[in-house]
Order: sequence, then structure tokens, then C-alpha cells
Amino acid sequence: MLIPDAVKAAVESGKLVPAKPIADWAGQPRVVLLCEPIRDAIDAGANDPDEKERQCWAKVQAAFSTFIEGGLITEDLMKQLKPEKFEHWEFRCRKPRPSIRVFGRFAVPDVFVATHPRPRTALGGMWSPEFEHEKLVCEDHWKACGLDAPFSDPNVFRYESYITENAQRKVGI
Amino acid sequence: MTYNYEAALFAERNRNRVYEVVIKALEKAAKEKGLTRAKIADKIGRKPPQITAWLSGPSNWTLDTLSDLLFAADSELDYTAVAFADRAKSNRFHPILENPIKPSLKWLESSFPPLPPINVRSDPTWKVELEEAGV
Repeated sequence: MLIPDAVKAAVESGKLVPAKPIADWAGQPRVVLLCEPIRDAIDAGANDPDEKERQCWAKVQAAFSTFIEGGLITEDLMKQLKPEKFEHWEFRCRKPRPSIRVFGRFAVPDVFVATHPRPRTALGGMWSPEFEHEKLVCEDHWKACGLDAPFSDPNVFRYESYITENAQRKVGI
Repeated sequence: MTYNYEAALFAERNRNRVYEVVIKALEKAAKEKGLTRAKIADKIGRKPPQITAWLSGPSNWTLDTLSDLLFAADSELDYTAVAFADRAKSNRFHPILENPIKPSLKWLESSFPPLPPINVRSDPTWKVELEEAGV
């Protein structure tokens, strides 16, 4: 099945739920599709009695909304994990602490499938077993949604191939 | 009294919007006038690592941070409050979905259909196996 058709089928079956932007007047040039674990985590976090915890999850949801509304995206917010050829990405919601990372992959340019969150403190350093494990969990959720190969820009992995407008790897200063 | 989650959402949204405006002003000044992080630090009397931290995201920004960074770019903001109801609605949306997602602050009221459990990798037991093998 072509990936746009697979995405539509996953949305219709409820396996993927489009994240809503915060403001009802904003455009939606990009899409974030949520797998069950990240939906559940946001629901739980938003209802947490601890105000700090709620603010952490508001940060995650606002990051999604920035993406959906076409806001500026840099690696400080959204980063492709190495090795790039396996197409794992993370949303980085660093402050307020605890820092939360949301794993996911691009289905097509500007359409991001967010699979599951993990606190940064649980991930260890780059190439740690914990980090590598979460990449595989990300793939499991991806496959469970009936999705095939993620979008890739092989060999060059240009940031702007994945996010086609208002995106740059680094701040230009 | 607890801080409303929807208020927190809007606060974060505004942080991200302001961040974009300031970053673009700084990038314009960098391109046109050769502004650098070191020059920003020098102009506002802060250490360069502080500037790098600010440029990596708006989480710790205050109104003073906003002013300092714009001052470094020889710029300032215009201030106009617009009522939500007066905002022109965009009809732009990504074509992969049939219709734009109905935006709502009532995100939390949505109910999701239950899904069958999927088999995801559990705890990384292979890590234990590696340790047991002395790797």
C-alpha cells in the first residue's frame, strides 16, 4: 500500500490520531499523527495533579502545534537521530525539566508520526542501549499502524527535504 | 487554585512564536550587518554561552531576554493585541488529510477508540544478556 493510503487507513481505523493545533485560526501546512502511547501520555500528563508535570506536557503539545502551524523548526526542537538511514527522529522538549523526548518518523514530507515519549534521563548517552532500544520500539509502533517504509532522503538527508518550509538544521547566527 | 492546562498551552505557543520572530531578526542582522553570537554577548553584556543557551530555545526567556536579543539586532517588536474572534482563519492545510483538523483547545475532551495491544519490545533484556556475557 502506498504510504499516503496507509496513513489514511491508519487514521480511519483510529490507530493514528491527528494532533490538533492550539489555535483555531492557524493554518495546518504540516501534520502530526499520534500513536496510542503518546496520546495516552499527553492525556495523563495534562491531567496530572503536579503543575510542573502539566507544564512539561503542555510544552510537548505546543511543540506539536508549532510544527503543525508551520512554525520555525530547527534541530533544537526536532532532530534526526543517527544513523540517519534508519529514519528515527525525536521531538526535544527540554525545559521545564524533566526533558521529554518524543520518538517518531516521517511518513511523507511534513507529515510526522509521533510514536512514544521517554524522559531524557531514561535514555543514557548517544548510542546507549536504552536509546537504541527506543528506536526499535519506535519501529514497532510504526509497523503496528500498518505503515511501511518511512520517508527518506537517502544519502544526503537534507533537513529541508523532511520539513519543506520554514525549517533549517541550525539557527543562522 | 491550579494553573489551567489550556493557559499553559497558550503560553508555550506564544513563547514559540516570539522565538521565531526574534531568531529571524537576529539572522537578518547577521546577514546584513555581520552580527555574531560574540557580538550579541558583547553588546548586551552577557557571556557567550548564555547567548547560545537563549538561541537554542525560548524556555528560559523573560521579557528582558526578548528585549536584550532584539536590542542586539537593533530591532524592537510592535505590540498589537488581537482578539481570537477577530483572527482571520487560514484555509491552508496539508493534503494528506481530507479536511483540516478541527482545531480546539478541547483536545483533552477527545475520546480515543480502544486499540488492541501490540507487541513492542519490552525492557532491553538483551542488555542484561550482554552484561551476563561480560561484554
